[in-house]
Amino acid sequence: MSSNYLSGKEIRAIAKENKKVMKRLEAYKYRKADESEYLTQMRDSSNILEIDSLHTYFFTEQGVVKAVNGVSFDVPQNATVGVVGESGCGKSVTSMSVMRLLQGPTGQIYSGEIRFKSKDKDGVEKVYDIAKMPMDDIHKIRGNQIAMIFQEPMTSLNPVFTIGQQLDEVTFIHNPDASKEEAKAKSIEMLNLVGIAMPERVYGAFPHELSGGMRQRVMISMALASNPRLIIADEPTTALDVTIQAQILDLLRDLKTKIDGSIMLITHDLGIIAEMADYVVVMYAGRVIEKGTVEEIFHNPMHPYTIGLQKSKPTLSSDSDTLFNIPGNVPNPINMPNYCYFKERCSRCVHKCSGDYPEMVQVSPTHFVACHLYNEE
Amino acid sequence: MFKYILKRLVMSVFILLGVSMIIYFLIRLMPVDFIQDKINAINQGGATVSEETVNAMYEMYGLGDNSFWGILKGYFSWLSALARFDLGTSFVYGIPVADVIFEHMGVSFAIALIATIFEFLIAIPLGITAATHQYSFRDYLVTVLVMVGISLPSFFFGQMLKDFFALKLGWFPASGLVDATASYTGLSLFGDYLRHVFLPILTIVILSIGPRMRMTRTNMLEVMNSDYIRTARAKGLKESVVINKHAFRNTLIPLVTSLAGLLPSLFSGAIITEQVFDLPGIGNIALDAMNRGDIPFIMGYNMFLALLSVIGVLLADLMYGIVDPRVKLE
Repeated sequence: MSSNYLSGKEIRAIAKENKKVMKRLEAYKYRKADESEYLTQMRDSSNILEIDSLHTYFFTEQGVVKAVNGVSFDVPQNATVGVVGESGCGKSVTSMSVMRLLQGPTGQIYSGEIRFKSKDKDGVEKVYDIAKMPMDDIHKIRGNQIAMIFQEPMTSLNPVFTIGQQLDEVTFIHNPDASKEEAKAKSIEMLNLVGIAMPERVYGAFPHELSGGMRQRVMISMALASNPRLIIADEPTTALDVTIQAQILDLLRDLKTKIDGSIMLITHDLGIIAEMADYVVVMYAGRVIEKGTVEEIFHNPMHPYTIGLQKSKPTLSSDSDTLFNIPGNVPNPINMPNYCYFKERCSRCVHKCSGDYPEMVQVSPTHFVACHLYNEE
Repeated sequence: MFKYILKRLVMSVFILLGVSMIIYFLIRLMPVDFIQDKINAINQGGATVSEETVNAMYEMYGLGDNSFWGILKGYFSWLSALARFDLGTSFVYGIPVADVIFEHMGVSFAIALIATIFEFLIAIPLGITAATHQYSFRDYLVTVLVMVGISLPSFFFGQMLKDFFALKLGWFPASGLVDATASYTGLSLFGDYLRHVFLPILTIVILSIGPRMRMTRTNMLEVMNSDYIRTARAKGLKESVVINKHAFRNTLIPLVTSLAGLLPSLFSGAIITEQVFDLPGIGNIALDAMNRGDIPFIMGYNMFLALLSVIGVLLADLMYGIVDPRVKLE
């Protein structure tokens, strides 16, 4: 295919355009701003996080990659929201946007709102628009109100510091006056909480002396040490074996009730979603294509992609030797067409599918789907 | 740990033996003949030297037999003298080689030490800013300037500095280590030394910042893109703490170990720079010895550097064990 080939002239034009936009967005990111600039209101007060038509772009040499292209979903208080989709569909980029951890200057939040209901030490609730927060103020919520667990426990801990040093740091961030002993006591308490057998020994150990499961537990304890209101778990069990997976998931479920917070669980494993989540968001090529409660998505999937995903799950009951798969690949994220991104792979294509990208259709109070099949008009 | 060091030291002995043998054979095969040059000089003075005297001189200096067995014999006699801690007598200077080395090493070592300290002090912060502001104006500026520094040859750049600062502006003396016309003592003598070594040090620092800065930048970039830096940011740490503590501590690993590897270069002298500024450093002396076929000196000097290299590599490995907790020395 020749669409990947770019002439020198085109590359220069792209670079020039990118530079302009990146410069503007970087300046916006590092500006000094008064709190009033990013204070906002929640649409529904029972939510803790509302993502509203979020666009996160990567300005690459080949063109603008719209990794997240208008994603909207809510995370209600005390709920677990599962975000599913195949690799490269933008689930991790969505979570990185919420944490404002995108690698600048190429990765930028282009537009959209990320409203988060924060609660400071005195219990005062304020709603911040994370997408508009300047980087200088991001510590108000990052690692403090929202904590994140990453998918690679093997490389997510700094190899040259002990577990204790890295855990104590969290205490010191939130309580700079804490003494060394207090920090250590808190860290050991956290290690106990995540079920580490010899917390005293692990406290003094270096990351390379621990197994993958232990490291992920340490990562979770690190995320919990700040009493977050929202935990973002980005494929927390992908790198672990199945028995450890189950233990880590049990741990997360227990902790959610203990800390009385919400979890945004990112995974491509439908089994984990079925077990853990209250709500499910299905993403495809940077867009949400279906969202609803876990029962709705599993018992009444509506989007052909979601149906395909359900079918491709391996089951013990079926007699078939081969696993169902959805034909084709995820489209190239540069220069996306303005029709349904799933059109080329869809088995239920209708005439309307060649038209504009389908709008979200509400099929029940909680169930939404972006497909022309369910569009009445 | 102790066992490891002991094992390495025993291995070093064999390495040094091999190195000395190779160097000795190479020097003996070099087309430079100290005796012939000496006789030519006498002949030019008008006197004639008889055949017997010439042969006697070759025998005296131990260079009579240039066959393989003759060279091997020469090597072993050098080695047996070394076993008695005797590096032999320099052909050119007529005093023990060890004395020549120690006499001239001071200047070279002082210059190299000061230059290395400045090199690290300047290159590391530059490398870090270039990495943390990748592809920014600052990054390009630093990279270009440093590239210019790498590309300048020392004989050219040193000469330029000399022409401008010493000859044109007259701020610094052009050559030598002391002002021969004045008789300084104490502190003012020290000040005079400093004035003389300033330009050589400046030359070396500017030319050596480049590689060190590039190395810091590359390491820092690699570290900044790693998962644990993302974790540190996600924890809510300030960017300055992320860079100066979490990232820098990891960048330090290759830097500290490369520092140990610099050991021989501290003593080897900067041959070309010393020549440009006419400093009585060991690099200058060594080049001269090479040109004149001063076999005992070349052997002594090169073995001294070989020993330092072996120790430097051992130190670098030991440093790894200290700065990187993942490395265990067995």
